[in-house]
Amino acid sequence: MDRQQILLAKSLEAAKVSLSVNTFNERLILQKSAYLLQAAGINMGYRFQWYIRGPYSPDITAGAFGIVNEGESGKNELEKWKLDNKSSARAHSLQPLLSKESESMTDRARRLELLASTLFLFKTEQAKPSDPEGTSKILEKNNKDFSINEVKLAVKELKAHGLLT
Amino acid sequence: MASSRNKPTRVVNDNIHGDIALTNDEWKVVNTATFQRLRSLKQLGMGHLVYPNATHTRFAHSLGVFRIMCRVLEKLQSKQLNVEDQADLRFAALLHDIGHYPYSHLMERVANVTLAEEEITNSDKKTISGQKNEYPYHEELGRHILESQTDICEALGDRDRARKIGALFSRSEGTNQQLSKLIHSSLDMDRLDYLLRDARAAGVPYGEIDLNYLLNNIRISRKGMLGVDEKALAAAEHFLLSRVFMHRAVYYHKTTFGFEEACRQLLRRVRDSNRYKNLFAKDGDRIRKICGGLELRGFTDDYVDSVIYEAATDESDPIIQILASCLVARRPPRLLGEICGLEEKTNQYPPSMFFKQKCRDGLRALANKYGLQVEQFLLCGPKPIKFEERGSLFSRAAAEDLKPEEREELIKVFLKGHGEPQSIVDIGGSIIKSLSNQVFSIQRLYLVESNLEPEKLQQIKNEVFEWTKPPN
Repeated sequence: MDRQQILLAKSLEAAKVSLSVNTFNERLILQKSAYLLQAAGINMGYRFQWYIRGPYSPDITAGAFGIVNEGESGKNELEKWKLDNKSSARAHSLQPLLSKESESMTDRARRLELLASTLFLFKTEQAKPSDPEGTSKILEKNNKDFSINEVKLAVKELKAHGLLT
Repeated sequence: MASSRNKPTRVVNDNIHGDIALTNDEWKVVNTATFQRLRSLKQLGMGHLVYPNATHTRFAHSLGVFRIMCRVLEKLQSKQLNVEDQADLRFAALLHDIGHYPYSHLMERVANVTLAEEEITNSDKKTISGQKNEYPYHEELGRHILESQTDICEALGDRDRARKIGALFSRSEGTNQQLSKLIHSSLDMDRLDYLLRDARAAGVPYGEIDLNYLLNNIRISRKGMLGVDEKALAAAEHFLLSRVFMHRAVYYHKTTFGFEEACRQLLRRVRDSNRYKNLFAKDGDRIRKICGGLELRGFTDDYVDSVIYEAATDESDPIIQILASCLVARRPPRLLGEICGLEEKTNQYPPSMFFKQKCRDGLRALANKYGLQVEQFLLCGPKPIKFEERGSLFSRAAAEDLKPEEREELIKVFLKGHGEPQSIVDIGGSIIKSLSNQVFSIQRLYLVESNLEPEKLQQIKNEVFEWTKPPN
């Protein structure tokens, strides 16, 4: 397990996101959560590229599978590390954004896909938070089915958690 | 290539691909100071310390990738790609490595280096920080360079075009998935060139892939998936296996890897030391500043070499000095022990992990016993090598259960009677499918030293050898 994997695991742990990779939705939630955590200022050093479901890092999938495959010995290794206080507090503050009570896995994956995708479009200056209609059109062009109202809500949530000013 | 403006008019002779023809616009890009910098970045890092002829550069490799892209485009003659798309793809191939660091990946991932004193077993909890401003990846840096270097912006036409090309090779925009698939498929042009080029330069046969057969049998499906015909399955498997052989024989050669690890650890120590702040970039902001201005021209292998030479005379830090001196004098770090071979991906206690743990537990005592410092040991190993870029991350069953978007980077094969290609890990009887539960792992322990008596060194090796034995 390298330092990047340790940082990934500890950041997800602080945000109470499971490091589970068994199903597609679990892997999608993991990817989008890691993207949002990094955008919130926890620099894990991952590079995200645009894939069919929005920002995605092959290294995160590889890193997560590596950790899971290490099983008990991996858990023992992670026990020896703690996340710095500032990152830990930031991850904790993002927890309500990354999971909501009584939300199904499918709904959660869809919501995180929207949040991460819109934020990626804003950060790469392909869309503007002030233009939800335009943002929705770009998402549609990329085969995503999110309404203007959903985009508006996503912008509101991103702002509320300090991911957009 | 409809207009006369886009007609190739310049030819470069390359030892791998022969004639490489470029248009006037492409020639203008090549003849910028920003692109010419690639002549001063060795493709194989410190490989030349073992294979003396392996001094080829990112410049030649970039032209090679460009040539392969041209051949793919000629072969596909895709109606889905207009003249402008094709021109963009040619530029993206030519410029895909424009953001590479000195000594390539060696400097880029300095943040991931773990020093021996951080590895050894300790009862205290260690803190890992998510607040460091790390170096950006070379693809991101490439995009930054294209948008900020005037010469290349002008050669490409304007900043918008430069931005578009940068977005294409760094995959930072999702506006044209068709183009993205072409440049980022697992059968990517980058690997097709570097395996051949590196093998020829090193003088080894392991990367001699069947490039012509692969390119002659490449196809694109109606949905835009790139793959090879079934008859080229052997060539595709050979390509994937070649990559593993090249890692074993060249990229992770014990001496090359030892030198590179010594350099990585040296750079990590230098970066963390205040004495080198004017000589070596401390963080990502400084790297971006270098790459956004005229300093970029000196951001070559010489940039790292000057740090090494300075560090070799640094009497205030014996560890920095000893690491630098081994590079200056080509005194390889001594390999004390290693675990090297195939491991089951699902094995939670593979031999490499046991060896690493034994090293962590025993290094302090070993250092004390022989009058060495823990910092002189390099406990290291590359990421496990995969037979297939994505498939090997998963168990075979899991790989077969991937969603289409997760399969994008798997090599695909057009089986008879199927319109869309299948991932190579799904094809019954394929060698890659059989090997998809394995990864090639390496874990090593080196010692950097100046003048240890041979008998003492042998005693240390004997002790470390015991750590390589699996537990009963």
